[in-house]
Amino acid sequence: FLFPIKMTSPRMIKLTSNDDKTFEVERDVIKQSVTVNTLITDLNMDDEDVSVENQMAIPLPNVDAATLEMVITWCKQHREDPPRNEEEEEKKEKRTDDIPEWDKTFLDVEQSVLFALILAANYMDIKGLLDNCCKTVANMIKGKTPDEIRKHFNIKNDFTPEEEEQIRKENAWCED
Amino acid sequence: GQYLVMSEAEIDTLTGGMQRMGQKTLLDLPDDVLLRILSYLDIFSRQTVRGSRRLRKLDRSLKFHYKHFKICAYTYQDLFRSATKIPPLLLTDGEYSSAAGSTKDMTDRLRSIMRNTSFETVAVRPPYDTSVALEFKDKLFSGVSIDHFEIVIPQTYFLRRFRPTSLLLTLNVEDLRTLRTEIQSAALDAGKLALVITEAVFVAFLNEVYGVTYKEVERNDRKELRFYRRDVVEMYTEPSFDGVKLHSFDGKMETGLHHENDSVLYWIEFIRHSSVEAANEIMNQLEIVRMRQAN
Repeated sequence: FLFPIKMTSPRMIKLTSNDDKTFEVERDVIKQSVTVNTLITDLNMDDEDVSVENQMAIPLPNVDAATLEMVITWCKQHREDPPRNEEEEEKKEKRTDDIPEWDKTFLDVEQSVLFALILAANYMDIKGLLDNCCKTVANMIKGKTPDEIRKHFNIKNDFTPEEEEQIRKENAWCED
Repeated sequence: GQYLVMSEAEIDTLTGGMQRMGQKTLLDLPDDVLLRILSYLDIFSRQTVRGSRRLRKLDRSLKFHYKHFKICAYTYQDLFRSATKIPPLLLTDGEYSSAAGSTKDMTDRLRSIMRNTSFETVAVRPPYDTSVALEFKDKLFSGVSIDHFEIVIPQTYFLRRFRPTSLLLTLNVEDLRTLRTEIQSAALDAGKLALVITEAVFVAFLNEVYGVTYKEVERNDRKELRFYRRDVVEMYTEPSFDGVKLHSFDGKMETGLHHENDSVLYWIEFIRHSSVEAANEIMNQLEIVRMRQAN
């Protein structure tokens, strides 16, 4: 006897960027975004009777297509990661030398792209991505003088000369 | 109409090239994200990150961002006067043994700290010169596995080299001798090592990390340390107070610290977002001692 085998394809979710590009992403992949996950649950979008074609796309008004694509790539890479326990994460020592190699390469992008990614991770509430992005920025800051930091991040020095002198005095203790 | 003609460089100066192109920059990040980034920096990097008003303000807020921090001080006359909410910081006077009646409480506290925090480096301030320091080190830490030992003279270099993150102790020679066994066994028990620093380094550290500074004054033939917040204009001037008052970070007058001679032992529980339980446990123990004294 031959039995028909029903092929179950992964549940897909549609996301729309702020520049109106729609992405289809596996439900299992995007669950890492607390924001999207909550929306899916609240809107009963896990109903398997609704095909992806008839499904409403979730708008992400704060994320552009290029950034969303990166976010999805990151989520795909980390889909097998164990769920984060935020309480445990908070207790962990704050270090920046534990960024996974794949993430290091992935996040080796122009500053503007990295900051857009941080904003997206923050908005979509993807803590793992946000953390690794923040660690990457912290690594950029480490070892630089205030001037180098300003130059590197294009920060305008908005201190008065008096304030600068005061800060210089305050920081003298940690200078060689 | 009239047009203001500006070069690209001028526009860049005014607005920043990246913003002009609608691209995101570091300062486009919201405060909570910037704080998250700053929290990954050690105190030295955080000094240098103060490149703009906003970063500086955030950085300074981060110092006091820790949720559970307390300060305690005790003297041999009057053990802990009070505890108040400031960063995870414990100050205690070197006369602990006569005050507490035994070194057991201190030992327990040391053990507790060592079990519950992570610190990696042992360093000892040379009491006299290099040879004495080496001899001292051998005596103090005989039997303890030390990954790194360095004799350091300039305080600033010391701090830069070790980048302390969790626990600082400053002890004078007598304290170290008295506590040698306790520190040793506690460190062995915990499989961890302690960082020992000088009082001067400690004060510099206090000043910068916690925004507290002090003046040494003489009164009634006795040295006192007056601690005060750098941004609190008025230092305490209450003459009847036997000791020193410290402005707590919520603005209320709180802790007294009496400093009589050089035998001062400071503990700094420098907890970064983590060992809240450790801090609480230590505080509970200190409170028990205080209550015992009060009764």
